[in-house]
Amino acid sequence: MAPVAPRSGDAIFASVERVNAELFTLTYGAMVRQLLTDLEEVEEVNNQLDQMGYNIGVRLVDEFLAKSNVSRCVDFKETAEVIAKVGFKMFLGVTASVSNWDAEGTTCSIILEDNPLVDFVELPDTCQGLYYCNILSGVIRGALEMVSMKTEVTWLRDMLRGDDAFELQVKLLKQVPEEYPYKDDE
Amino acid sequence: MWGIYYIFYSYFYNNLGQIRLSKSLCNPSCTRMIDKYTICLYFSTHTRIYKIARTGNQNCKSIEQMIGAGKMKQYTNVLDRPLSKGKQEVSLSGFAFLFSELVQYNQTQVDNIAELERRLEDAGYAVGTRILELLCHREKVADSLEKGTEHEDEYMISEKELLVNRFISIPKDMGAFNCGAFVAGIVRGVLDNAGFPAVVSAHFVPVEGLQRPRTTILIKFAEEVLQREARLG
Repeated sequence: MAPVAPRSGDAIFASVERVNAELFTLTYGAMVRQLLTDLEEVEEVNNQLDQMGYNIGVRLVDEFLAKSNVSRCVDFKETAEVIAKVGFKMFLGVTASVSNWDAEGTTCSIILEDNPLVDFVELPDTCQGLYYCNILSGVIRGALEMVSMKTEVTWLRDMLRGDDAFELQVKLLKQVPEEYPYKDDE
Repeated sequence: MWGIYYIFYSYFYNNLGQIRLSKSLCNPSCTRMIDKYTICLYFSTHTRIYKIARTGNQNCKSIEQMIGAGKMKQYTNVLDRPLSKGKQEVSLSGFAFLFSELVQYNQTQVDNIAELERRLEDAGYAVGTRILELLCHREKVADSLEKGTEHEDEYMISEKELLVNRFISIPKDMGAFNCGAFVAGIVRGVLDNAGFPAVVSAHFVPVEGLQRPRTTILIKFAEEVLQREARLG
């Protein structure tokens, strides 16, 4: 059977059902607000957002693989490219870029110029330590863990703190080979 | 009354899929009502102050109060940024994932269904408040409005497959829980801030021939709204 060619991010985004980005933005805002009221500590909220992102990422990767038909990535570089070009486009409708590769090819930066999560948002003085988009780092971490890559994702630049773009640093910690739940000889 | 439906219907139609307005006021003074309300909306689009000039509730909730109540930074004044056209989209599944996390998080915070619905409604309320402001600046046009024949203080908006309910399955022990509570909250937020206090709730209505029941948003306007309409009509 001939392998199906991988589809570009734009093509997939055009074919999936879409909703108004404002609804998405406002729902996310409502969620962050709820977290801030419940948890009060900014660090706690950051962790909770990351955890929620992780839960999403774990399920999101299935849909991503099903819709995008990407073949197995040869190395981490390709993985990062696919996340930035296809993944972000497919779910958020924006394209990210990859840069700042280190010498071993295990760390890179994904840069987002445009981020639907932060439309109309401003951080007040009381929440300066908040990583508003921390859910995105959780999503990437969760998705990659489901494809056997343990990663660490941190924010380098955050527009809500005055920088000019959003920059996520993705660091590959190790590749965990898949474990089969059953022994071969049973 | 028509005025508020005008906004609502267009919002729902454009953002949450097709809906059918099943009851509405059928009153010759309605046209005047629309005009009066529409004028008020246009007034707000031409001023920087996001006020809705109408009798009743006058909350000036500007966008700067989006998160907390902090001071505005000089260099990243969110009000100075141009308002986006509103055409940007994200994938439905992205929204569904986000909403499911919202529901799951709230599940851990409460003990019973009523409390869960309440929390979702509150979240929706906040969304509704801001949606109204955005709508006022966009001059959205509704594609069509349906007229009902009854005149009561209760109105219903029904939809076969509500966006938020599409990807949610209700486990048996949760019984009557309805994620439409979030949408009901949005509706309540819009109405409240436009000066039409109402009690809004979401209900499942089983329909012959459809596997999943239709979701209906029930809007019950407060006494003062009806009295006001009677005075103005």
